Amino acid sequence: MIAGSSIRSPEPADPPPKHLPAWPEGTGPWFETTRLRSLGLDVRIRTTDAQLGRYLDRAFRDVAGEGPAETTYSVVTTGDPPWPYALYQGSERMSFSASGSYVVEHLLWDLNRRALDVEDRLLLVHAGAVVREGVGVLLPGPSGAGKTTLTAGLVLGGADYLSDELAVVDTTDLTLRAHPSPLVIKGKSRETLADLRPRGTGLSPTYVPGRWLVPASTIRPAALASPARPGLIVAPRYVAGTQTRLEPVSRANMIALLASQALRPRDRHAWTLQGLRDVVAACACYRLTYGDLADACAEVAQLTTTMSREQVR
Amino acid sequence: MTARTAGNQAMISIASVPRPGEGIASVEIDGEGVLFDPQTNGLHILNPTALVVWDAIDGTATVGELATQLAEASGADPEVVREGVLEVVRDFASRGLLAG
Repeated sequence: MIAGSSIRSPEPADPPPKHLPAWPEGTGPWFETTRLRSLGLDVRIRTTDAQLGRYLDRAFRDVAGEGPAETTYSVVTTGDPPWPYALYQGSERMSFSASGSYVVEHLLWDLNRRALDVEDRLLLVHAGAVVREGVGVLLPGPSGAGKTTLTAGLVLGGADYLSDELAVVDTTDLTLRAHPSPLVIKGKSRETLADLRPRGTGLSPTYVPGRWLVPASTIRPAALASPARPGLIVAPRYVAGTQTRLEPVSRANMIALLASQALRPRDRHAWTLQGLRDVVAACACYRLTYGDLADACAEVAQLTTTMSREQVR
Repeated sequence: MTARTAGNQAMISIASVPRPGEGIASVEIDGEGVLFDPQTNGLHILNPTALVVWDAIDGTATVGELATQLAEASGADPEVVREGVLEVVRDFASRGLLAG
């Protein structure tokens, strides 16, 4: 199990400045996002770069809320060398950098960290989660396994979106909860999912090089799912050029796989393992090795269709 | 939590009294077991036989006594059960799952 969090602080792109500038008085005008509210996240982001502000507002639109937020982050572009980019939480400096991507990376990392601060009854697993034909589907796996690509592909094909990267299980009623933060599409997945490239934001790659933040509602309108009971767990593994292969996995093996991807405090291992057992006991479990996204989505779709028909009977 | 190390499996004999390592979490599903060892972050999957032995280990019975109990419960050949239990307990020891 991953103790606490699998999310690491980003490595600084450059050495920290010797003399950190004070809060830039009179900075502005500001572009403010709407309130972002999901799990432990309750923030608003403001930035002096309107393009960045619009990009973040669009990226996080599926977790938009109303009213005042608990915390405000500020991304400031002073333009003053050698540290023209800065990130604040409230009036507290978090980072300064010559690199716009570093401060945005730091911001996104801190948003993820906040989201993990959840009630004790919620079990968090490094996995994608969708609902198809009423069946909650978990897609667990380590980074690079192809979770996000498969999640996006399933949403494109009609599945409803619960979450990417972080699946949330409410252990009190054994449901998968929604955490509809944007899908983070990076690397070669951008070629496979080229149609999902964010358009019309005009954002400079200075801030988010090599990846796209894609809200599910831009993949397909009304793609956001309500909480659902898990019924299927498919552990994906992308292998370029391979033929797609679906294999049943024992439930014990799946518990071990989920446990290796679970995020809990150090003192709750027994609780976490029992929670994972309860989830797995309610699910059919498979490993999916895929080299083609369409084939992979078809395999998952066939499983959910079969399960859905069995439920009706 | 007391530090545990992978034990020398040859040290385990029929007279040894195995005790589960501190803090090890376990669950059962479909007759198999899953153990999580917080000291090493290690995950272990137990087949039905190993799970039965793990569940029987209580920190008071010797390996021989465990074997007798399990042989009586299963009706299997006591000598075969004895060898099997010894092998499984040695495997637990080699994986650092036992205290001491």
